[in-house]
Amino acid sequence: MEVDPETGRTTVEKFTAVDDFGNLVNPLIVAGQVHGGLAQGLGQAMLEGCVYDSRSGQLLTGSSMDYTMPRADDLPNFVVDHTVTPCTHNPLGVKGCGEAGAIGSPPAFINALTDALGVKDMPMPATAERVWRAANNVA
Amino acid sequence: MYTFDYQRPASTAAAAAAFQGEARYLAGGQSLVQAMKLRLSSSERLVDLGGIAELKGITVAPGQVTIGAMSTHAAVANSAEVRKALPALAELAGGIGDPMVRNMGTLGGSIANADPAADYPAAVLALGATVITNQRRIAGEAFFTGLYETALKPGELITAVSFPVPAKAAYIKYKQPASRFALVGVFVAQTSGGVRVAVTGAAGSVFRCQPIEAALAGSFTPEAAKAVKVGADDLNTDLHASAAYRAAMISVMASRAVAAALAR
Repeated sequence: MEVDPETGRTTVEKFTAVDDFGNLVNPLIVAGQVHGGLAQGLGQAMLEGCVYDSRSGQLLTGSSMDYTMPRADDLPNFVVDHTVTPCTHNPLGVKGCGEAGAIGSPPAFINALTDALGVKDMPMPATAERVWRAANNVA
Repeated sequence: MYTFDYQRPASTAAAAAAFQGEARYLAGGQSLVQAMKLRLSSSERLVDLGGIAELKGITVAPGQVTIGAMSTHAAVANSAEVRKALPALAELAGGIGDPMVRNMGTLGGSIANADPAADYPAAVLALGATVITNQRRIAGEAFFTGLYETALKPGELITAVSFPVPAKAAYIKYKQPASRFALVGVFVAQTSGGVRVAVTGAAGSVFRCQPIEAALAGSFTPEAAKAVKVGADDLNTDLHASAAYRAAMISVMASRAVAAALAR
């Protein structure tokens, strides 16, 4: 991860995910599930957030012009690998693989960011302004 | 979208004549059609400028680049002549929106709309360009008058914009991550009239930042721009950034624009 202290912009340079899903029936599909989950989780950590007007309750992030979904150029090429411990609870020895990416990536991102900034806490999404304030000790 | 009458004239004169009733000119449609789909805009008549050949074209003369109002962002970005004579302008055009937007969006449409976060207004103001209409020539300084407001009169049609070629220039923007519009965009130019620094995205309309211009007149270096503390009064605060952050980014983007200009 690289943090630009002048702007607060954060880029993920490299991301490695190692999961154990038991036996992989279709490894390509499993990789796709992990990639999608990582993108979703990094989007949550870096970019996505619903913002409401505090007086009216009106949703301000009402379209893609204001609600930031992760795009391909927000993300690196992921390094994905597996260990295989067959599940003992079903005949195929398989485990679910759709949620792992989205569960693991937000804490991985925020842990890296708090480590880079030397702070204890960073709410999600870690917008450029939030990171800039933390990096420059601006309240 | 509400129903409307549609005209597609073949000349500028026919376009002006067709501008009757509650009408709007249609250029690339990248702002207007979106607004119509959201029912934020409705007109009795749209006058489509896409069939008017005289509104297209790029002319490079010594010290001057003149771009037809219906030139697309892609055409400007890919023009070998503009890339050679005024690379900052080609780079600015190449950074607008995405490829689909750039294939349709036009220079005239962009500045006539005067979105507070549009890129082209910063170039017009920083380079001291002249907006040429079917009625008169308007100096760039006088063109942008407020939020989505310009000096254009009803029915007046931009035909071209003439940009003086600077000694050195560059445009750097910090993109609002969702829309990729300029959260803060700064165009720095060394013109025959001195250093000009135009800022878009930070306020209700594009403006020149006199403190940074003064600093760069003394020393045209990234450090001189970065050191200027820009005031946050009159700057936008919205869900994406506070006025204080925008103020800080004006200095940062200006310093990066100076570095880019010096690196040519």
